Amino acid sequence: MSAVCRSRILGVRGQPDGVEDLAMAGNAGIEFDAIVVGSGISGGWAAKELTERGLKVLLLERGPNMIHGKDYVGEGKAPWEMPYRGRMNEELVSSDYYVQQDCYAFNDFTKQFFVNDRRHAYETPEDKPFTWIRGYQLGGRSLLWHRQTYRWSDLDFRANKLDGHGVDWPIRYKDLAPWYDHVEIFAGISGSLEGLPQLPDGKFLPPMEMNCVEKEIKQKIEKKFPTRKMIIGRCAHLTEPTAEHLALGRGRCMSREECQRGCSFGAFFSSLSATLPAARLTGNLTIATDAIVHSVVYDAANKRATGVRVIDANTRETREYRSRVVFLCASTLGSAQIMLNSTSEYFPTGIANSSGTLGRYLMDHCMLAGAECEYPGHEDEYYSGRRPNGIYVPRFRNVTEKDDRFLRGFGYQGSAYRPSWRRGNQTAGIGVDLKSRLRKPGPWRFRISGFGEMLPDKRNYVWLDEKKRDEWGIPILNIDCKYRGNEDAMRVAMAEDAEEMMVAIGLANVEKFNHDVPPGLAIHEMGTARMGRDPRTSVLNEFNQAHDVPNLFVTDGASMTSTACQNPSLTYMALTARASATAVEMLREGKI
Amino acid sequence: MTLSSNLLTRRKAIQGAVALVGGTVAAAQLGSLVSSVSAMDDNSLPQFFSQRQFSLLEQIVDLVIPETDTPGAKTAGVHRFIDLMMAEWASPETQVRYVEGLQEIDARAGGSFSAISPNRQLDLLATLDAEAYADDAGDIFFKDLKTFILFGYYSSEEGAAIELKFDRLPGAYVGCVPFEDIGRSWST
Repeated sequence: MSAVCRSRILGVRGQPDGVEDLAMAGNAGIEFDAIVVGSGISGGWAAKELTERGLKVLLLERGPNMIHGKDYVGEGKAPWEMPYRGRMNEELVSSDYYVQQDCYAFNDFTKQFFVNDRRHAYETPEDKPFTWIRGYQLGGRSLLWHRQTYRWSDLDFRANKLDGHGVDWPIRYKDLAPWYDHVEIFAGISGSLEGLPQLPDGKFLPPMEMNCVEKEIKQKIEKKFPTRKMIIGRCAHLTEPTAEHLALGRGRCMSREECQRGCSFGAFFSSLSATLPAARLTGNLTIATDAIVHSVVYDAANKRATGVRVIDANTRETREYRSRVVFLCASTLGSAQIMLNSTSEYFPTGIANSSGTLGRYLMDHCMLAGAECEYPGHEDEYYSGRRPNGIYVPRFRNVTEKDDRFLRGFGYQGSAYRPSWRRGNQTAGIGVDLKSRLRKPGPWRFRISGFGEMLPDKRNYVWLDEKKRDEWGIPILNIDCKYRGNEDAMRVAMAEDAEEMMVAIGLANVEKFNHDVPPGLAIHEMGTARMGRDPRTSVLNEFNQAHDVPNLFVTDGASMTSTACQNPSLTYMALTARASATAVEMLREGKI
Repeated sequence: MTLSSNLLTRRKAIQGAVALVGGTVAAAQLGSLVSSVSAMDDNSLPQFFSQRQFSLLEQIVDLVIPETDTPGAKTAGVHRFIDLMMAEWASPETQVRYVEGLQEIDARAGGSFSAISPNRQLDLLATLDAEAYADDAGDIFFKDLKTFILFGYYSSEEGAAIELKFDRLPGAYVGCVPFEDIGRSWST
């Protein structure tokens, strides 16, 4: 059997010895209970929740297999143990990674988790660049994420209804709250209890520590601005693993801050460290890697999805897999591409698109505006270990402090730190003086940078170009999206408010910044198959179920109706777990 | 070198961590941790630069980060590292910039940097440095070169773990520590 070149079906324990010929599964006509497309944060959760509820699940991943630990080839390496000390060949970057190189986490330690841009092209209008950062492998971008995890609140779920931008979310915080509890306990989220209505508390592991300067700045800001808070970041790291975490082979965070190289301690949450191991334990999971989903197959007579059409990434053979329910968790733009490509006589513009909103209302957070400055004093204080987390200033604009310059709001992420030897690049000096100066860390600095909500806008959309196809014959995605007036105004405010806060607590030489970067770079892309109450104006209902196709669920970022200003992954987890439970119930009751 | 005693302490800490997560997960990590001394062949010929430019580069790195109570950039092989990077990492544009940039430094020394006295060599580099970091400075080669030397040095084992502090597996984050307990900047 020429299994090596073919898509690989991994057995229930997911080990490569379970490799089978993809053709066999296809031809045998096995009907799975559920197909989950994508193995990132959302797909991992769908696999876990569906298998634990007794469903036989086929998880499809378009990229290659990754084995937790073994395939983290950059993990634990010192710079001098890498051929180019972590840098990547300049010409290779320009030819193959010209988009991915813009991601802060892209380097020679991590490059194996990023796509090759040349092989995975997309297009944008000349004047509207969009940065699409991707990881095609088992685990997807759950290996690359920044792990900041914040609940959304009713401030967010009511936002569209309140100001009329976008349609109303079909859910409220109370619908999601128990599911936030559920996913937080399993994933392991560290954080502090703050009692803030706009940033609900959760089921937290112990918070990480602020450094001395951050503690002092927190006091000063909260005294000067009684309705603002500065808290330690909430993040998906095990500060104190529970018995459940340990049983899955996960351990405590070692404070290396090299997370995107892979963490064999399983200390941060990923599909490979957490959800897939749990799903495998049920004996109900089959994984096929190197399996690119071309489209969802639709049976118009029965008004159901019957499975998916798959192209083998290596041989380019096509197969069909059948299932009673399909979960799309292929990432916002990945799911949009599959749905737009799932055309039929009944759905000529893409499956479940009777509303015409499929592909539209693409959003990302706006960011990279804020301020930084030196923080005098504390020269006899330092820190040890590398905290994979920072501080967070929860949203205050249009919550406790009205701001008429823009709608909605932003939060800040940042830290206080002492610059390393790299500051030597910025200042004159050579010889003994330079060396002895850089032996000590620089004076403390404090920096905060905003993440702001982007309004849903019909003009921000994606479409497929039938004339241009990738090497697997799939029409390539065109992304037509830009930040508009509200985001521009918000970014100005992010910089000004940050500057004002620093000046107000007595800091001098504050430098505000506002970098004009394309959408996509926040890597919080959302929308294109939004949830809503009305089938005429939205693709999905309150359970992430397609209005038009009752056994089709989309639970990744594509389903988002608005962006809030908090990092979205935790909400994808909660929505996915909730949709999975609902789907299983509906299957049992014979509703779908 | 104090590295070995640090490594022993670290090894214990890691073994504890490995036991905590059930044994096998981080065993590979442990292996890479205890065999981490980089080998360098002192007599290796340049792969990219001419012998003349290679010698020039060696002199420059030695002046920018000299040997003190810790190894300098020459001992850390930063000139060899830059030569390797030019041979295997750099784009043609970068390669040209470095060849021409080093020629220019020779020219500024009146034809041969090696031929002038060590004091004049240091003065010349100080002048180039001042020019590179002046307020109205444009795109000046010496700034690139110095940045590359700092990168090469502080990412070497000598620069990262002997001159500065390097901790492969901290085990925990402690937010407020007296500076004197650490004594030097973290290299990471």
